[in-house]
Amino acid sequence: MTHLVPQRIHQVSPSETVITWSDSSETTFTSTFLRNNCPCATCTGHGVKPTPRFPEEHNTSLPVIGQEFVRVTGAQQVGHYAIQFKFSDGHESGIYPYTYLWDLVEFSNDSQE
Amino acid sequence: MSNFRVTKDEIFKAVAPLRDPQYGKDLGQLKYLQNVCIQNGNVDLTIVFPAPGSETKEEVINQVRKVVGALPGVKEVNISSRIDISSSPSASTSSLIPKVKNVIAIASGKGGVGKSTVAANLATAMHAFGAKVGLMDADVYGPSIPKLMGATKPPEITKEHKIIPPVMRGIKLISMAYFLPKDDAVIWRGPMLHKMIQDFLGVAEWGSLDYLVIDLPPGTGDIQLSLCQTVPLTGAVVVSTPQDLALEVASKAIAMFRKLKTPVLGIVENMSHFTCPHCGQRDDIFGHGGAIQASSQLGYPFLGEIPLSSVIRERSDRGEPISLDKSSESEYARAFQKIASNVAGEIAQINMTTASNISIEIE
Repeated sequence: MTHLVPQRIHQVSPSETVITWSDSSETTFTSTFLRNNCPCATCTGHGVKPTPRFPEEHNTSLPVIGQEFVRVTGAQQVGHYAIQFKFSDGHESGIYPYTYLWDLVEFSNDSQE
Repeated sequence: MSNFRVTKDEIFKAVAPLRDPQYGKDLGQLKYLQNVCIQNGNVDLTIVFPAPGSETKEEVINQVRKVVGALPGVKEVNISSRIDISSSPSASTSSLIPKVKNVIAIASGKGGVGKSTVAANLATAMHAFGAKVGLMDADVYGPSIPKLMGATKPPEITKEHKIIPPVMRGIKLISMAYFLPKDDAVIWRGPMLHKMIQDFLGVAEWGSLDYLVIDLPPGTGDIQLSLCQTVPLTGAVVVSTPQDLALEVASKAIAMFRKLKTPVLGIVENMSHFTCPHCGQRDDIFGHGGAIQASSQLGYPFLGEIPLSSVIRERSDRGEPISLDKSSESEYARAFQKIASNVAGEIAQINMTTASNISIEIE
């Protein structure tokens, strides 16, 4: 997975976002999963390294209210290293470095096995 | 009249395997050949170079002339050449500066190693090669570009709140120095620095440029991070003096760029050695060759070295970048020209290999 960069980001349904990687492989993320794993300092607590988790998992970070209805409403490339997602609840401070997206992919692959 | 008739295909086939030593790639890959025209055995063709100031230009032209001239049926070969500076694949999407082809950051870990001097001379040398160049002084704490360039005329601010950069020696300039009284200081927190970077890029009218050179403050702080987030940089040049102390800090700057996936174009060794103007004896005040060693250890190109000299200092203080020195005697001017040529070449290479931007289709 490492060293792959996103090439295309598109939506297959209002709640599913697909990232196409530089090796043509694809990952589908639900909006809820992405919103819940927002790595920004407000969501994770300052100075805490974000770790991927399921929406229903309880941890110390801020709960996302109405998370099952949250949609991805926009995305922007940040320099050469990250994607910033915008969500329908108005949250848009999360910058998802590619390295973190790889963690998210690995996490969702592992949990499917 | 010979029976042979040369075709365009034959010419392309003959030229394709030749190599441009600057890139170690063959001309077919580089797509150098254009406008091939054959008439009665006379061949006219154009070679398009992706970077200005190439030191291998003549060599490439001679190789092509020889190979094409040797094809059966060719009587005469007329070669013209042209420079078409390649654009970073990520350039068009950065909405702030859509018409800037390449953005180069000049960085260092430690202060006082000569970033601004390198930035000013790199910009003037690239302009002398025929490129359209802008120079942005992002060092808000110690803005020195206007002084180095001898540019005291402040920018104009239009009614539409656009900043029109003053042009000095053909180069568009922006600096914090223009917006502050001389003895005042910038004492800002992160968000204000971020805003300044965005204004310098977006509110300033850069127009179309081949290269925008950005002189960074030392270190790995807010400004560096803001810049890497605001525009996809084509690459960064890291300046260091040869002593261990400086090189250790330079490797931190490199680590930052690596984390932010910004390509490092290479390392420049400044204050490389000192030749006594009285006795001619050479003294390696900060040591010598440290940057070459560091660049080979870290796996980045070594872009060149600049001697320590009072001539460079005097010219800098007068606002006349030494790289403009026309006298062929000037080893300092040549040192900077060589670095500019190497930087342009590295950028052309990176532009050949980087993937384009992410296509984002979300409504």
